[in-house]
Amino acid sequence: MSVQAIQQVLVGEGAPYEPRGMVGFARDVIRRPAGAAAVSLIVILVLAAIFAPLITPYNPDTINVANTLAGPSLHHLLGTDSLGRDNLTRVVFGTRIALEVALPSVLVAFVVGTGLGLAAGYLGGPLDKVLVVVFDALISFPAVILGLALLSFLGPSVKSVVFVIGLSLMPYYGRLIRAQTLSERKNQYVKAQRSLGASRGRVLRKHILPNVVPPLLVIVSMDIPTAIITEAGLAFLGLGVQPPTPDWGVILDDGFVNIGTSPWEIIGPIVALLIMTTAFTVLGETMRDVLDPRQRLPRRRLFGRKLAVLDD
Amino acid sequence: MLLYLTKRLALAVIVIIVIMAMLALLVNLVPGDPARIILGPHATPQLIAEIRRTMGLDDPVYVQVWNFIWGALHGNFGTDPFSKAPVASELGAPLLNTLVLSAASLVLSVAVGIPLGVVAAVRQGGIVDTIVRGASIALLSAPAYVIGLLLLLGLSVRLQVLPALGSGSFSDPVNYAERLIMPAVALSAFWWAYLARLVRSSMLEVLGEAFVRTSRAYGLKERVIRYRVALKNALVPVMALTGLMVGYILSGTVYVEVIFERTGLGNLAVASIGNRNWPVVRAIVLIYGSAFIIGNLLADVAYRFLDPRLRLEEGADVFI
Repeated sequence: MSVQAIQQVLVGEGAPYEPRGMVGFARDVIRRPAGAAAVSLIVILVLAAIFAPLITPYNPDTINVANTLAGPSLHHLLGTDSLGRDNLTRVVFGTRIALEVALPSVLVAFVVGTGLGLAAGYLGGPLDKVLVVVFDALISFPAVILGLALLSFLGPSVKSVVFVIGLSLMPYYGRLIRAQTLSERKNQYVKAQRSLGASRGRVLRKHILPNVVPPLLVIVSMDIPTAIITEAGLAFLGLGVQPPTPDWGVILDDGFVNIGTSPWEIIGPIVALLIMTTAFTVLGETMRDVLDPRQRLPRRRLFGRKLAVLDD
Repeated sequence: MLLYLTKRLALAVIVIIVIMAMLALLVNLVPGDPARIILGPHATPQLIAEIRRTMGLDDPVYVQVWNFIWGALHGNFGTDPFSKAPVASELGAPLLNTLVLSAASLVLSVAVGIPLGVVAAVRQGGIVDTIVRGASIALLSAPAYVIGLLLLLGLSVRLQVLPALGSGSFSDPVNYAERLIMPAVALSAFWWAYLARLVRSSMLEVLGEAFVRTSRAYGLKERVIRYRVALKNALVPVMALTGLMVGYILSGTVYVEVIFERTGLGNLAVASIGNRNWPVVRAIVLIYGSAFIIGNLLADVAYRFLDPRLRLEEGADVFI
């Protein structure tokens, strides 16, 4: 009798987790109209980021002092900025930085937070107490404030911005995983495994991890917009990615300075930002519905994390 | 309840002290000599030595940490290396402005968001309901600085109905309030959409519950059921959000103060980072962090007070 079979007997038919496979999950998400729309938008944006030099008619850094702060025309659909650079080209290139910062920072937060949360929840003891205080201390700083604290010391670079955003998102994953691990640990099947001689590491890897991670995918998808918004915001304040990099925040800052003479510059990044953030948020909501179509995630747990998760 | 309060308070105090220690350590992590970075490459050794002394950089690290914590607890945040004035004396006016803006935004969020949600729930399918369910999506994905920039563009630059820049002074209350409108709207627009949707769905949920049907069967007036029974219960999840609202609004003040060129902590912090005025940055970050912690503490306690079900757990989840 295999361990699985014994577990079946001990725990009963309704085994708590049934791996459905990432492919099946992805198919379920795309089958829904909202999911399909969100995924295709994201694909378009990613393609735009990759092929930015091919689809834009100008170089994002080419200065043209003869044609600064121009309004929209056939040559420059969104006008030009204070140095005569094409706004549309720069917005398209901005997609690159947005993704280059958002994806790694959410990934870092996810991996580190999950690791620390599992350790805190499953091992307990003094380590747990310390980690809880660390999570709480970090959560007390919204990303911008953390940026104020750290970026003046680290210096503004893509790497430091990834670090700051990752650090600001990490404790949410840590707390969530810790709470879920605590509740999973009490379950019958964990006790059954342990009594069958499975090591702590095996239980953690084989049983707790697969149970606590799927709901996190939803949060990952919803954190990407948060990361993008923070990245552009820090750049707007002059604390993040620096000019002349074509970044949405940098463009917004230039547009803000010249808002009295040329309103066109801020429109591009704002629209791009809204499309990108909405696409990832809708994807997250669709994944949530697929994962848990009947009851959806418990409310209280979501309040521990970010917003935009609303039952209608 | 008392046990919970004690534990929660102890955790908050520990977290604030840990934050202070981290902030005191930060300046030691700067590659190179912080005093030299502040003063630039042409500084004389005497000047550098003086700055190092005023910033306490010559002390051992543990003494720096202790001095910062002890000083901060007594409202002493060190000396501004540029103006030579105590940092604390420079923070008064900005702090007041930021607090007024945050409080105004919080009140505005709740005062608009909740009634919108109630109307949407009570008149299901009506105009307000349609707006709340449809148009709110745009507000939900727009960050505060985008709303701020659009308001600035629309109302100040184009229509010129509201004064754009500066925070005004208390001696001219009308002007001060006028200058508060756009920043406060920029910080609360998100919450109008969010709270309206939340109140709408939780009110509809409560209205469908058995005790509401029972109240109806007992002959309570529909008005009483709606506003005294259903609304009261529907507001509990809103309470749970207060902590998040405080965080969102505090961090939003940084952007909004920069956009509307208001005097305030956020604007001062951004400017201070520009000239590497670390003592000022450090003090402001500590104030923001503490404000967030205190806001969350009050929200948590109020939440428990309002929802007796949570008190049953009696401090069990203080670490969750």
